[in-house]
Amino acid sequence: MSKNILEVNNLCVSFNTSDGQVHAVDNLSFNIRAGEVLGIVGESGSGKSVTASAIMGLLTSGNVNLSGSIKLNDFEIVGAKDSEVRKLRGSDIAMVFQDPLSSLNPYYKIGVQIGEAYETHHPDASKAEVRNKVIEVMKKVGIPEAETRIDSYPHEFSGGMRQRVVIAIALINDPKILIADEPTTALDVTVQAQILDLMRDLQKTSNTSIILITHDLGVVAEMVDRVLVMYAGRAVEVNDIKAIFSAPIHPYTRGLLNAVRSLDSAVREKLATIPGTPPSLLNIPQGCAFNPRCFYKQWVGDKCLVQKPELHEIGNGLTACHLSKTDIERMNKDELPVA
Amino acid sequence: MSEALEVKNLFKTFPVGKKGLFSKPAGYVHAVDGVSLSIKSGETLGIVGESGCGKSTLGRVMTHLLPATDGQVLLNGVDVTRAKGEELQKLRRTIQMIFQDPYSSLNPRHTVGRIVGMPLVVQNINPAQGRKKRVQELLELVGLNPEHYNRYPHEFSGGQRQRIGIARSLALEPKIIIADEPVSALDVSIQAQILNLLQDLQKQLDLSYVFIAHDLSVVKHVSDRVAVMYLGKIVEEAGSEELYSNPMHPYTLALLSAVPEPNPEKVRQRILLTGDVPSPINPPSGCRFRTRCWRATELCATTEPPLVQISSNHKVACHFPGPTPLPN
Repeated sequence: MSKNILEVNNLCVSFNTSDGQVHAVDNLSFNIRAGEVLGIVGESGSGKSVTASAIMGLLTSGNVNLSGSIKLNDFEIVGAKDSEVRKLRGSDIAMVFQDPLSSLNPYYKIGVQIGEAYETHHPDASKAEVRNKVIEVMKKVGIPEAETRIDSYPHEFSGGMRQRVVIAIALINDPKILIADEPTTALDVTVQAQILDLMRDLQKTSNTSIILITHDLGVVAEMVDRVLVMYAGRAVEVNDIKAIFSAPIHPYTRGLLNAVRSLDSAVREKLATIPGTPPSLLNIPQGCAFNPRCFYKQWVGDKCLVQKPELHEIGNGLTACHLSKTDIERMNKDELPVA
Repeated sequence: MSEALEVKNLFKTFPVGKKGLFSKPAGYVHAVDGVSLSIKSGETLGIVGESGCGKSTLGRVMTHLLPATDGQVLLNGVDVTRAKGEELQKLRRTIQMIFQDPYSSLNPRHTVGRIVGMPLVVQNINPAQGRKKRVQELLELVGLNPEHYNRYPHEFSGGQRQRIGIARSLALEPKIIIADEPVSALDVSIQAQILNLLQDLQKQLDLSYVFIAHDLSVVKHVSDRVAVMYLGKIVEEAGSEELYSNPMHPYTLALLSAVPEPNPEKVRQRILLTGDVPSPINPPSGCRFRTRCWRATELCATTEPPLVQISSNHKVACHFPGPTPLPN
């Protein structure tokens, strides 16, 4: 087994707002091995994007309270000097954002924008060297006619091509970790398939670790090795991809799976739902944050309402749920109640 | 079953590149290009396609939010596109719309009661039990607490806001609802709630839906019939069972194969379309899909394939229709 390239331990992030403290990430621990694709899954407000920002060292403004540890190859990102983190950002860790249009500057040619990422970390590179490097990476991400397209502006590209440009910027310095935050959500299905295919190929050839943040379990199934499921800022399940889909060990994961649409279902078939809505991070429920929406709390009793479940091992995975192992087996066997 | 809505040979173009007030436009975007459809009462028609294929424009022309360039939209035999004034206002009671973005489609300065009651005010309808009572009934119908009458949209989550939008669309007791990507802005667990709600309401109120989406897996859960659009034209139309089990048009095959499979153990043969959708200002000659199609021949460049009936429940516009998914 290859060694951990990134270790996150007891990460807590909260924001001071005029309405009170927003606990975006609460006591989160996970790691990622070299060459591994980790999926972070959760609904909006579950803390997945904030986690990504923390790893990138982007949470530096005054209203953020950050504690815990994020170690990239023994380098501690939490509390590190900005100038130190800047050396890592874009070279060792890179990020691809959701909306390719707003992550590119409309006033600059794309060659300049891709090249900037290289120049920042290679200040001695000559102009010709940078240009060659840019053309090389553009070819790698599948942009046709790279030699001429290098002088185009973002508006001359389609959505899918723009996302390829953004991926090129992220990959030009051969990062050890690529964080992709909903990289295909803004794209059409046929283009989404192209981009996922590209990311899979690049991952195989370069052995980069990828953190894929998404709410789409279909995308997760196609891309990742291991999944971290988040709910209300906490990890609720960490498990191998096959286990997540065949025998999940947390009721929330079970609920998400039941709500996933598949082409295999019958025409006009009703979907199982998770009742209620995700909680406000200003006012997270007592005990287990998922308890107001959980069908299975009746099997446990009052413990769910008062005691926060800690992440513990069941089988090969980790779960933060009070259900016993036999209860979880029963959960996966039973038909889910349709709410 | 009778036809609730009929669309006949509908066109919608937008001028582009107009330099001055009296100059001619440089070209036209052919957003909807000769579309014919019909929706029976109590039925759901799904319209699927990628961004820019004209599906939203089609929805807006059907509700006369945009005037048609040519063609007819018949509602109980009356042409919506030619209706004016009082007649149009009456027609609007029968056909209502649900929008994609539950954040931008609700006025943040109006209370929920005012938002949901607004159609009654505009149409000058005074229900016997009073407007407030009627609005509270509607809120209850879509699963919201009627006591939230005086709250503002920002106090609600995305899914609840979409419920407010649905309540508003139901205020005038319409027969037809055009839902333009009603769940694509919502979280997965909430999408399922809204899709189920729409199905329940359809049964309860005998509604017809036109369900516009880009995702074939969403459409499968709600539609009786599905039409696939590409660059302003319908390329395939069939009953849901038929379309999903026996797709014929290469574009439909590609769309189906692009849906991510929520099962890591299953590997699906994927058709990767090369390139992007061509510009609707200057669409390719002949068949519009030929630039991305692996079956295209010279015939496709010269002759446009008409939408032909291949069985009682299936129409397709392709010179070489067939289910073989394997591109060379």
